Amino acid sequence: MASRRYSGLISALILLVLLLMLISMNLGSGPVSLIDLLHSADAAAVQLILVEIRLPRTLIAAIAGASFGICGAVMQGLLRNPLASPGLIGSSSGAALGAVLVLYLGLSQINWLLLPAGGMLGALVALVLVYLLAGRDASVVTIVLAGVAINALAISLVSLILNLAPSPYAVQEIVLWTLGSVSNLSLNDLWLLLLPTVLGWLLLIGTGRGLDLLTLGEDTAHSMGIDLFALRARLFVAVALCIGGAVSITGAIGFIGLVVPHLLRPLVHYQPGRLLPASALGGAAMLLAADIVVRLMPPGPEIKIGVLTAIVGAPFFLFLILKTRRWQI
Amino acid sequence: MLQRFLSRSLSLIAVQCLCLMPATADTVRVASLNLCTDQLVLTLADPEQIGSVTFLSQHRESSFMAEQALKYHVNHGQAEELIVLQPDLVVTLTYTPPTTLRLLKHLGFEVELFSPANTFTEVTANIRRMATLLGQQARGEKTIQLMQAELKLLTTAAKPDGRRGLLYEPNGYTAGEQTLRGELIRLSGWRNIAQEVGIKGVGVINLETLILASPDRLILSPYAPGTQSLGQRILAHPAVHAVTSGQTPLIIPPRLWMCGGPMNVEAVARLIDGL
Repeated sequence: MASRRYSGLISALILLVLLLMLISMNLGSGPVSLIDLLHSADAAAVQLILVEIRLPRTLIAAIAGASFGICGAVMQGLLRNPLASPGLIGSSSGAALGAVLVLYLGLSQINWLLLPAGGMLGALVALVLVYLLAGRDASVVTIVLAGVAINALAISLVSLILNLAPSPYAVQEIVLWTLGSVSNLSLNDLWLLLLPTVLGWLLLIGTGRGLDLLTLGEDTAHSMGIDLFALRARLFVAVALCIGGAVSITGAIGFIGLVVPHLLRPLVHYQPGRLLPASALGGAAMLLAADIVVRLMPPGPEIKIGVLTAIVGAPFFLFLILKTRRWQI
Repeated sequence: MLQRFLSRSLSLIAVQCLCLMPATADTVRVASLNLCTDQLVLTLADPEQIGSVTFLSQHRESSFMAEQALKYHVNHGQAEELIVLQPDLVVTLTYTPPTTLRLLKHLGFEVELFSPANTFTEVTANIRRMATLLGQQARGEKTIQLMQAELKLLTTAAKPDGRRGLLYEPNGYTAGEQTLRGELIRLSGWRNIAQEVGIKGVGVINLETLILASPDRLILSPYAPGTQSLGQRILAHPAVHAVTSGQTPLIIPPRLWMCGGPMNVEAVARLIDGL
């Protein structure tokens, strides 16, 4: 029964993501839609817009959103902490710092793959630092405090590097790295995103059982044959690959990894293993929807996508804090 | 204090009576706080009249007069840099921050504000005004005449065939109506796409609009070649490359048209070459 309801949920989410992708492909500043591919006077321009501009934008939003969603679910499961998510505990800003270092100092000229590699390394360092700072079985407050510190440090270093960068356009781009954007991306960016993301997702396959057992406590999980050190290392690397890849292309888009797993958790009966695929689809849907709203706004300077996810996410964050406080009384 | 006041008043009187005096008697020492006024000063003033120009005037990418500027004292657009120098006149563009202007006036400096030139007529007006301030009217008129003659020669020889060009800058910026660069593009015989899609002044053209407008050739003006940023990456977008069928963009060095002045003629020449 539960399993049928679960596959129902997954199918519904897949349908939602596909629907949003379809809307995203038909939405843009130019009056061009998918139907124009069949009959249009200017077939070359239509094809360019759909294939080179809207397709990468749509797919990158879906893939990056999925990564943010799934990583939120992984972190909340691994740290057994409702406030853990890439944005809040510093891995996104760490990834942004890594990517910024590579891009603005010209290292990406040597090889473009260094960009996601820098993002991945930054995310991993931030993740491990927060974990070491907070310690095992850390309380909600400790993790968030450690996250705030790492976040602040990484963001100020991003600003510092952008101020010192040789490009005269760098300083204005602080907002792109801290709020994120998926506009003006190309298929090249899609390939750059895809490589680390697929590796990260592959590493996550089969970790569901470990995460499920972890809900019983580390000791119980250990006694049931889970190698905690290996699980933790594998999940850290997977999260770093996904977040590093996504942030180095889109910037640090916040709150998806926090909100989506919380919304979906009751629907998968609080099973962390089942939450992973559901959160991936939910994250994809949330980022696609946010990007659609960005494009529906009146013309002018484009609103950064992270503004929208924060408008939805920040009140949700407050609600979570109130809920946690009630538990602790 | 009285002495300073007297000397300033005297030099002001000197400026106003230049028409009656030989050019050599003029001793207006000028400091410029903006790249565009720098280049007008460097074009029109006698060397002993130039008190200070900005550090930007020595940058080869942005300044047409970089070589000449090397000889002079440089400032970074700050009022306090002028205190020791005590110039008779400070010239700058209206872009200068209001706080700097207030401070300059508080310190008792005579400040002349120039508007950035958006048309060729405004370029000649600015040259004429600067020449008058410096007491170099003859040099000013000669510069203007030469510029107009060269421009006429170039534009009558050009054969516009309705080719459509688009200036494309990092972050998608372009120049439409009421911009100097827009006017120079038009004067050269190009049809300016920014103007066709209704961009007034400097504005952003988004990628989809660019592709639907289908320019024959892109015009680039790289201000900081060799540096990296997300804004500069847009120029390498495969769709931008594909829409002009892979034709290499026309490069106009920014020093030729960032500011209004005689160097604009060379920008027109290169634009006509690329037509």
